[in-house]
Amino acid sequence: MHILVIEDEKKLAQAIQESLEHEHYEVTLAHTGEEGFFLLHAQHVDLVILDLMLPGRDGIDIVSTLRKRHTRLPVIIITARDSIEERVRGLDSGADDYLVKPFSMAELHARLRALLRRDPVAPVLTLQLADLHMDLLSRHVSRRGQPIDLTVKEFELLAYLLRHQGRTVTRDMLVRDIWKEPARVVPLDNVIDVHMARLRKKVDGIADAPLVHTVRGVGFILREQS
Amino acid sequence: MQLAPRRVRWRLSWYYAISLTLIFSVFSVCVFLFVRISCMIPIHAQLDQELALVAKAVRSNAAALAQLETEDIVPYFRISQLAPSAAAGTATTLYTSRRWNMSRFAGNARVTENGNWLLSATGRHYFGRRFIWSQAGITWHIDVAVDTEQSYVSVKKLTIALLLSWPLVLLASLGGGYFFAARVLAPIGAMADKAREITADKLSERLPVQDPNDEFGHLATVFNETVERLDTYFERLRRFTADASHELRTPLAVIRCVGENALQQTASSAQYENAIGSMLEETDSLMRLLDGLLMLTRAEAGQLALQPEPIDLAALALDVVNCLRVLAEEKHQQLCFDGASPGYVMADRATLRQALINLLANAIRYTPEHGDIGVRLVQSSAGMQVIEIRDNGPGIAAEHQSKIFERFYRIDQDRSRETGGAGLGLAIARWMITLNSGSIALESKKNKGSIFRVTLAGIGLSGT
Repeated sequence: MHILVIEDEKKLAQAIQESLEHEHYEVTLAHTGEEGFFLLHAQHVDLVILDLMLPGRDGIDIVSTLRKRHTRLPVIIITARDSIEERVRGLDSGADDYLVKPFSMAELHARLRALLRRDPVAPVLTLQLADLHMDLLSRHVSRRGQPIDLTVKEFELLAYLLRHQGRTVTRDMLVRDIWKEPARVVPLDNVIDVHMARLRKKVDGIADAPLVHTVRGVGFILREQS
Repeated sequence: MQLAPRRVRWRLSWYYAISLTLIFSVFSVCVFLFVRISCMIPIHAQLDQELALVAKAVRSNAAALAQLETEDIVPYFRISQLAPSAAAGTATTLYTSRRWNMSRFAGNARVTENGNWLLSATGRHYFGRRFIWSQAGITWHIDVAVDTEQSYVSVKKLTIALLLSWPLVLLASLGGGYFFAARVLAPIGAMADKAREITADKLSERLPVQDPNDEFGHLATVFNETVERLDTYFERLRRFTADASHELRTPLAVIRCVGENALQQTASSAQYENAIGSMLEETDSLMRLLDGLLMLTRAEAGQLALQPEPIDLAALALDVVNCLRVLAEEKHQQLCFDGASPGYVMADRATLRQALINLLANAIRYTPEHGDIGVRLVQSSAGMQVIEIRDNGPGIAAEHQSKIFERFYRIDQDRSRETGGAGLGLAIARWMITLNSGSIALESKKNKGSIFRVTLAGIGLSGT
């Protein structure tokens, strides 16, 4: 997978590059819109990550031009402008997703994966990690064969973590996807922490090897102990 | 010291001068007319009398006429006759008194029935009137005149006096106006001088109010009130800047120190991980602070796009209660919701929800363990929907109550990050409610708990 990152802030561009390369993507950096356009013509690109405030040319303008030629190329906008109008304008211009700075790399990865695997996948009915099993239909959860009794929220949380297993899930992602809260300002951090603590107790309390881990300052991750 | 502008002073003087001169002109005309009329009344009376005497004498005989003249009863008279065939104006003079002849009136002494002025060769002024009567086809003219030199001169002197004083009045009123305008306007100069001294650093200064009941006193009072508002505003701004810099600097300081420490020591990867995690946590709190501040700024600038829709407050409040219930459970608090019947309001769901979350999260945070928290939806008599968020926590002292909704306001002056947030929650809550045309009130007593009351205008969906 080849990803083109058009971002004029060099430190940020480099951080994105490193992070993506760590996940085995092929990454090309462009620091201006013109450079980005040139690279788009010269190489095959699977996805574009685009900053909206670039020197010389408005990002929205770039997206619209780009959309005319590469109709199916996924575009993720990263921007410091976070008002709802800006968001709508960005998505209207043809971008597929919109991330407000400062965003976490974990979230960028999650969005990337969602965009790159847009083809329909067979619906998953069961989720599993090590000896943790989850049946989405019967809502039955068990660890080492022992059933675990979860509340609705805890069930949703665990399912979400299991779908993203092995990858970090940020609080922002949980707020948006589980609590369906559009604004980041809503103070749900404590609520998330309480739910996670309870979930951890129920999932890991009965086993020696913990599966739920906290990534300090970033979020949570569900994985086998490495 | 710049020269004070004088335009108002001049304008006032001109207004004085013009009105005074106008009044004086009307007065002069009246005086003139009055004096003239009062002079003419005795003259006409005398003429009436003399005409009657002459007419009587004419009817009797020539001797009677002569007697009138010699005894100086009627000194100036003339009798002429107009033949029926004769052309107009060609009257034959029958008799002229000696005095009339001597006067040698100018212009052939044309006299009218209504009376007119006559000027003698010596320059004296007379007033003459003609009496016309016809008998047997013959028309008689009797002209009688009286010497009015004295009255004429008096009226003339009066006229001259009035005309001469006109420019004097104009000048005097201008000068007087200019002088008095200066006295009236004097407080403005004083106020301007004082106002010039009031700067952003010296907002405690006030304008002198000489008489609060006059216009300038009123102006000064209003100005002082404006300065007062500015003063409180600046004071708030100063506090806001101080608090904001504290809230922004603290996480930055943590990031910096933790980063430096990690670099200086050769540490294990676990220690590095710890340091980076700590820095990321601070980044997170900075980001939330920034988001909150931006949201407040947008709310104040009216830049938040709201989508009002009918919302069942009971459902929304219950949703918020359920969302935050785990927080209360962790502190073993009783959290109950009371609002069986739905109450509809027109509001933006996201902002209203955020306001309620902030209020309830606050109540849970500041109420000690095993406390009681209640959320209640009541319908007031005026069709208002009221949500009460009540706790039995420490309460809020009266001196904090008015400021509790200000940005960054914290009751504890140490602004500890252990015991509370940045102090934006209530400010955001108030704005979100204000934007939805609602109001928020606080009822609290120290150590007796608090009630936050959110009032929104209900819409008539509840009955259907």
